[in-house]
Amino acid sequence: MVVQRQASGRITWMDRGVLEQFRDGDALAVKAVYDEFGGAVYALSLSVIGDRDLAADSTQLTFLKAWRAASTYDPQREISPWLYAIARRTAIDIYRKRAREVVSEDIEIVSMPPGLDAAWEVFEVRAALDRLPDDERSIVKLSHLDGYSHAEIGDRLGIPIGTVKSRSHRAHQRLAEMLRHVVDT
Amino acid sequence: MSRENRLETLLGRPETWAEPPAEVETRILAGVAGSARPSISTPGPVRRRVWQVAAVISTVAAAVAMVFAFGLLGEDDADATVFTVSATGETPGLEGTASVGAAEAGWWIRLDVLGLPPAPSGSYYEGWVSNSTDTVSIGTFHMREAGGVALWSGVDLYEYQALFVTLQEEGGGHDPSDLVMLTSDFAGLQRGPGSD
Repeated sequence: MVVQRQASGRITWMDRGVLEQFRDGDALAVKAVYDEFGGAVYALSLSVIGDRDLAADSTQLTFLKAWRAASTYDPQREISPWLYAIARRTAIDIYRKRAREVVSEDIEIVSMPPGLDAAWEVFEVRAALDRLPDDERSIVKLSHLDGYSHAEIGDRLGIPIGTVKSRSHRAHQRLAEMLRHVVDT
Repeated sequence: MSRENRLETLLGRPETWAEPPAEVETRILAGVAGSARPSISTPGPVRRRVWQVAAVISTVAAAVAMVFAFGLLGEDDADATVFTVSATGETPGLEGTASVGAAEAGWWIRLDVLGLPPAPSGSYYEGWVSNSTDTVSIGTFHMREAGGVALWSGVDLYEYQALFVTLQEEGGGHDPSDLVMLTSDFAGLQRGPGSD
């Protein structure tokens, strides 16, 4: 696995060989890309659409569209922005289609989804979270999503509070590094 | 807002942590396996890769396949073999066909059945293929949208030539129920000149 730092400071983690295989339509590479970005695409889709079932459909469509368009992808570039663009467009289309169905087939809904502003951030943050080691990721989740204190996390995981603090510190350092381009925006 | 607060806000969003349903990956891989895409792969490794892909998909699917609307994936029917689908005592009067074709990995199976109603709330339909010793799921569906139903098999249909569809109760386990709705027989499936 090759970790490369881009000029922007971003870190990309997909092996170039895998990305070349993806461009060539290799199903194994599609799985590798899904393993890396499936959670991020789903999180983005849910953020935009606000419905879990439709977000799942949108995720499926995103990867199939990406696979079909993969010959246009340049493996020398990061795949993340390219995949994000497909995911965002797909989620918007599904959101609008549902909005037309809910309101009226005769009314053209031109408004953008309310969750669209945060879509890119959600995508990037989730992709970064999925790159954390499991023991650090679980602590970040328990802390930020579930609202547990370090002491409570230590109790739940059966580890000393000092270990929780050190893992949490490392995790936030990694996240700050991976997400510098997001939080500095 | 400081960098720390901004990151904290992003990390506290529930959608940031939401997990896609497990079947999404299976659907995607089955879609890749069952759809035609212009490929620039060289001919040499393709055959070997077919089995690699089949192994991956079989693992991911855990012998459970997927369902997707044909309008979404658009399989190529050119090489399909079509079999009659028969009704059972549970579904008198139904008629339809099962189209079968080899995918890049595994097999795609399309059911076109007239008169099969949407699965009642709390239940779903599940397709199966079997032989004398084994039964394997090839996907689930609800029949809540018009059109054909697409299924995918990771096992070789030359070896699993009986197809049937059951009505399953949600949370009712992983084995086929006794409510068999449709049956078909792929015994006439012929190996092509290039098949192993």
